[in-house]
Amino acid sequence: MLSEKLERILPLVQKPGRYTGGELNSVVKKAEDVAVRYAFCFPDTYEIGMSHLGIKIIYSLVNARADAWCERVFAPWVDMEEKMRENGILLYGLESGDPIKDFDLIGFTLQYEMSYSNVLNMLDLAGLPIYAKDRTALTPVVIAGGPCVCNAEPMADFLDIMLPGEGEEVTNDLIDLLKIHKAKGSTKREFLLEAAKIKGVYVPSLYDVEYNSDNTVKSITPLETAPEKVEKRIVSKLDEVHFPETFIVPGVEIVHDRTVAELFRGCIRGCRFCQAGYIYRPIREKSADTVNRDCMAICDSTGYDEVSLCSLSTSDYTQLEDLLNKLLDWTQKDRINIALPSLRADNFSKELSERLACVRRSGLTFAPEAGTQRMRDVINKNITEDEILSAARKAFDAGWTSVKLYFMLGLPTETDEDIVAVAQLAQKVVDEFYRNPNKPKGKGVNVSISVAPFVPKPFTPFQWEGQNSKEELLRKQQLVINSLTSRKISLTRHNTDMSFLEGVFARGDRRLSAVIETAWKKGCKLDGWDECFRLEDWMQSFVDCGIDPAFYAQRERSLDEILPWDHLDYGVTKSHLVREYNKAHNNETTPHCREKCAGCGANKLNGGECDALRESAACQKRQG
Amino acid sequence: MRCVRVLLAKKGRAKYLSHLDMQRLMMRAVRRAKIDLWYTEGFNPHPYLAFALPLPLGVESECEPIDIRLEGDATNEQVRDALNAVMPEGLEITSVIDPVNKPGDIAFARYDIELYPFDGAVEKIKTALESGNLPAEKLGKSGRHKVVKQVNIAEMMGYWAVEEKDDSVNIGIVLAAGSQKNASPFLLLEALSAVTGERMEYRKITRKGLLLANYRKF
Repeated sequence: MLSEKLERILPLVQKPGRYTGGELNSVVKKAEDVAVRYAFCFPDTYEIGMSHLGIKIIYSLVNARADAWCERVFAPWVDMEEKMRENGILLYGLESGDPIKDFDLIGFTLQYEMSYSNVLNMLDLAGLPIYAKDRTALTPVVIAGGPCVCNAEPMADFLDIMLPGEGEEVTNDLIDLLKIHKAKGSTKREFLLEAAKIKGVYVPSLYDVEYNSDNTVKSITPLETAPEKVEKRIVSKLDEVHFPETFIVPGVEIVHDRTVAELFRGCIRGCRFCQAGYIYRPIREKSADTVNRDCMAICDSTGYDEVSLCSLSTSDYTQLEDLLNKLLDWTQKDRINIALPSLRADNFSKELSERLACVRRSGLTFAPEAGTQRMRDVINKNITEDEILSAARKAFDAGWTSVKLYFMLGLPTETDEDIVAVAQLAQKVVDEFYRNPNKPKGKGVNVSISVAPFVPKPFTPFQWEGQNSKEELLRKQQLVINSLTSRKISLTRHNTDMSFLEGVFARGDRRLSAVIETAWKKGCKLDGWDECFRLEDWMQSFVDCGIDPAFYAQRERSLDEILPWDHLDYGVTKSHLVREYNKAHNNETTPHCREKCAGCGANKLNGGECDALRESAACQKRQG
Repeated sequence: MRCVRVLLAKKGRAKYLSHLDMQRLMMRAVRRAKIDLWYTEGFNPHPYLAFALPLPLGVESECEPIDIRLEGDATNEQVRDALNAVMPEGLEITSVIDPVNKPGDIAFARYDIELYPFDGAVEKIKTALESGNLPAEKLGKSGRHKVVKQVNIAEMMGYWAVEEKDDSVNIGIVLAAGSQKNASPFLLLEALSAVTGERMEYRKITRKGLLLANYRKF
């Protein structure tokens, strides 16, 4: 039931279905029956947040416990926030409608840097102080997970706990511990000191950070129970990990409105710009049987007519063939589509394209990332122009007439020649279409290329690199435009201002907390949305706080500098990253993990086990 | 292949689902219910599922007709029960019938409008409804262009009644509905508001039924 206060404002806002709850398969419990109430907050709108797989997993995992109740919370859109503030409605959980300030745990997922201001705004809308130190009671404990947690130091002052790594096990551990401390009536500090002893729990207030006069980090010192290094948590066996048997079926349309199943975690490729490729290691696969079972159960209970297989590189899933056979067995009969995102151009086979074609023809996307072979070697994309063109040829042969190509601009060692080559490569793909004797008659080709500014990220071999300035990126974008020779090619550019801020916060330190607070107070929120993004306010906030953003984004770091995230351990060793950094600057590639283990070190997280390691050993044995 | 008419009641927070949301939602419900659907035989086969008349967002209903084409020999009662077993909160299939009239035959809809009270509400509203002149601006289309049309709601009304009850003012009214002439209850409230100078804040609006041109039940 919705409160009358809420019912009176819902007719006045856009898409009120986002704020009501009550969707099919949402979980409603009795508040008095549970010991721990958990508000899972996604710091963006309902449509974005509901599309995220992580929230579905944690929601189902927590609600599988009899003693806990997880509810969903999203950032209200501007119109709804205004009405909520006008009418004194505090941010509430969608399942109960109760204010989340009375919950025990408030968990944010930090998926991208541009959502940081939303976290502050949501805490404030909940009626809570934004700074962790000002929330003195034991509960609510404000925690955060997600990829950005590998360096969410700019958010350190606002969060009580961060959870580097995978959330399934550690969430349960934390709920167990909080339950005990709630019953004991512990203070928040007592609880945090115990929490810091759990593997994969990072309590930022238990680390003291000192800075040098040149603004670099001088030292990061753990206090009391905090470990020297917080090692990220992983789930060892993916076939045994909790996965939802059903999804909430939203009434309003969301971005990814379909069944999603996970194929594997980690990636064998080692592209040097890709943070996901490093922080999710070691590689662990789910069996085709498990994935098939997951898909079937979810389709059955939701009525979804599309399945999407999720991983960092779908065609690297060793059981793809087997899985597709199993899936097609029932999806074709039930008229369910299969979507395979993240395909690689080098192992895109004719069989695979035919398989996909017999389900439904959607767009095809390849990511060469760079225009020249030299540049692709630097970033270790390990894909040749021939492979890209041959993939395009196969796609055109199978009847596709539109292909998307993703590129980055502003990569380390990049020259103008590399940029012009982006346009040239797109042209070669167009030529490939017209060379194909089997091309569909009466149809033209559309090659859309997307160029995104490169943002150096922590825990990648490029974590020491400087990011291109906005002016330089705009010049490079223009250079691509000027080099285009065909109207068959369309170009999408990414907002360079946003990439700049992303770059600042991705490798920022704790002093940026003040900037986020200042910008939020100036009204910055929903920064990932073009219509809400206000660069001037952000720039003024840097000035107000006496901080030079270029220090974080554009500065090239020396290899021995202490980095703000050095006290976190994501498995991959720094020496491996240095090795890769040096190889990049020598235009040298590293083979993928199944070909030859590069010794990244992430297997130590899994007791020395790594799916790719086993295969690479077997492969070398065969060859030897 | 046979066509059935599903009558859907939409209550509570389900009223915040739009017409497009409802089409998607019903399609999924039908899939969950494992009802044997008839598919079109074109290049891109799809099931046939059509709402007779869109329901404005925020309005509850006791009687939304949805026509669905089926294969197999499930009875109307079996279809109703199978759907009700999988419907989300606030949505209930009241019955499944064999269609008699065509959706195009709908001419009126009957609404109950529950307003928050204000001073002299009943008298003011009665006077306005009796005046025969309730101008409103309606967004319409002329070819491909969007235009604002001036309409007189008084010419799009059937019988009505206004009464005060506990802490609300209730309007029962029949309004033109269908593809030819259509007046939404929100348009009526806007017109009433303009004429009386009072803010018409509603607590609840319910579509009670759809009527044919001769005021018989659709």
